[in-house]
Amino acid sequence: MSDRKSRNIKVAMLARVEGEGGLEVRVRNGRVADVKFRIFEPPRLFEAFLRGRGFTEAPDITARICGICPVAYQMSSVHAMEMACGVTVGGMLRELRRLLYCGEWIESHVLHVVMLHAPDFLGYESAVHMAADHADQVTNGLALKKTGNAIVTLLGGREIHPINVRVGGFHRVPTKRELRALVEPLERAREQTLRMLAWVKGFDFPDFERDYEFVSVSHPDEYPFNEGNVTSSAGLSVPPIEFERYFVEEHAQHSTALQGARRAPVEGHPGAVKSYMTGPLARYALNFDRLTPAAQQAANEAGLGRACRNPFQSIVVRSVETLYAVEEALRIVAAYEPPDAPAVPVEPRAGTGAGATEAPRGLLVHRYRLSADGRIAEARIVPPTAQNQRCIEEDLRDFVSPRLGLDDATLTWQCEQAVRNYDPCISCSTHFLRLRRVEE
Amino acid sequence: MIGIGNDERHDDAAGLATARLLRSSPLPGARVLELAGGSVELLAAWEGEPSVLVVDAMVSGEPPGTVRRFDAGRETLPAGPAGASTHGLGLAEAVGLARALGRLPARLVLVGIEGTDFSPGAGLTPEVAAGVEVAARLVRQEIAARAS
Repeated sequence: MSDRKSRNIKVAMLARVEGEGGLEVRVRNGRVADVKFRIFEPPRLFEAFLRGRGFTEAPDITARICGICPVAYQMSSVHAMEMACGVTVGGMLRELRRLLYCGEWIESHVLHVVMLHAPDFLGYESAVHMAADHADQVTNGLALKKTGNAIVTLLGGREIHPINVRVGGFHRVPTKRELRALVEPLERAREQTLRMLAWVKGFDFPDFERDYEFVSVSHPDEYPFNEGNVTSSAGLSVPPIEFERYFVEEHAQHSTALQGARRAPVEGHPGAVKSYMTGPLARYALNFDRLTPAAQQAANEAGLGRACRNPFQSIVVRSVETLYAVEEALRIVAAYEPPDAPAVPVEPRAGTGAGATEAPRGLLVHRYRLSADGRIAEARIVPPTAQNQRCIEEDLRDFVSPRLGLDDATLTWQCEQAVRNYDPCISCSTHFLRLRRVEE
Repeated sequence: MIGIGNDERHDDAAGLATARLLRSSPLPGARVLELAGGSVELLAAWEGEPSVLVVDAMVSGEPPGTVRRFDAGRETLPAGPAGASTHGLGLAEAVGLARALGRLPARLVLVGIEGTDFSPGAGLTPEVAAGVEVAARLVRQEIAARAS
């Protein structure tokens, strides 16, 4: 127990290839005075390198923004380009895009659930430390993740940084036989996901809820990957091209990433903004009805309502979404007939297009303005982690306030766990934070 | 034999360069793979293989191009700086994870090549390129010794 009235809990993240971030909670007179979640995000630079490049290059260039969710970057960019050029991709090509996204969700969600987040709940400093005591679940998770990798490798052309996606479709589409080979591993993946769910639903979740504004892509007929309006639990529903009318990104001095916020003008404060949450909890709350019956049943059995406002339970929601992705992949594989051509032709024209798709960690919006020869005149990329920054800070503030009696080590552990609820791209390793305690 | 690294980070590509050099002439009884180096992918790659050699760039404070051999069955690999790779689970973690899960190959040898320049861009520094040749010879000797 600490009886100090003022303290400064500072967590610095070690530098890594993607950049750096950290967290600071400042306590004065027994109250949380300030919370800062500082991050560095590289995508900003990409918007500048994209200028002057051809419209067909965006999916390959932006895929390099993230090694974990390259498919999301490819999907948001191709949809934006197709809108700018007045082309719609439907039929089996659209189905294959959904299938590719299923693969990425499985890979990314399982990595986070099993290797990065579960150790927080079970008191291990990393998955390596956890593995000896939970070998069956780690082995189960690794096998499940491998099926996600197999989908991305088949449709993306290789496991990391897929290269087979293009504006209009794919460079090559799989044969029926190639897709049939996924059926057996996907059937096993269903069982593996249920085992993972049975494990995580029994974790001890801190008693914590907030009244979030949830924001995700929503589609009337399907759980969202690629298509639909940007929708919010406060009643907003707008096409992706209108995203910037309702949402802003602002500079905050303590972060080199822009912070996303929802415009919330009130009388006398036309520029007022508020936080919102994107990611699994948002998708789940706004699209529960479009989950498969088995995924809905699994959610019910895990004790989730139709909406979940405890961010620590995101590990359960990710597992439910993994089950959805496995079942959706099975549906697509079963109905697959190779399309006549691997892509539809796309001719450039002057114009603007936006694409909003659901990366594993949330809404990813791309907007491009093209000149008549198909060169990119302007690019805008709004990644999910940037959008969630404010929400993370507010979670930390509300979470820490009633827990100031905890010692620094426990509080730091729980704060890291609260950040990892969002699976942010900066939270790349399970053991990355250092605590510095400063007496004020 | 698995060479790991990133071609766009100068000396980080030392493991990949070793794999490519080994492919340039026959290596009977061995398979050569190139990987980015994520622990999960490494575990999958060596699944079911009785004998595995992994070549990677290292940062140990030795002069650039220095080649060191570790027997993962007998020695603990020094842990690298946390978060050096995307999502943070690298070679040392892969070995730790495989050991905990009982999935270490019966024989696992790690060969490190000391790097110095990990900035963005392609191409090895000359000392590291020389180290790649030393590492490739070491791998050939290991494979020949096991075959005999």
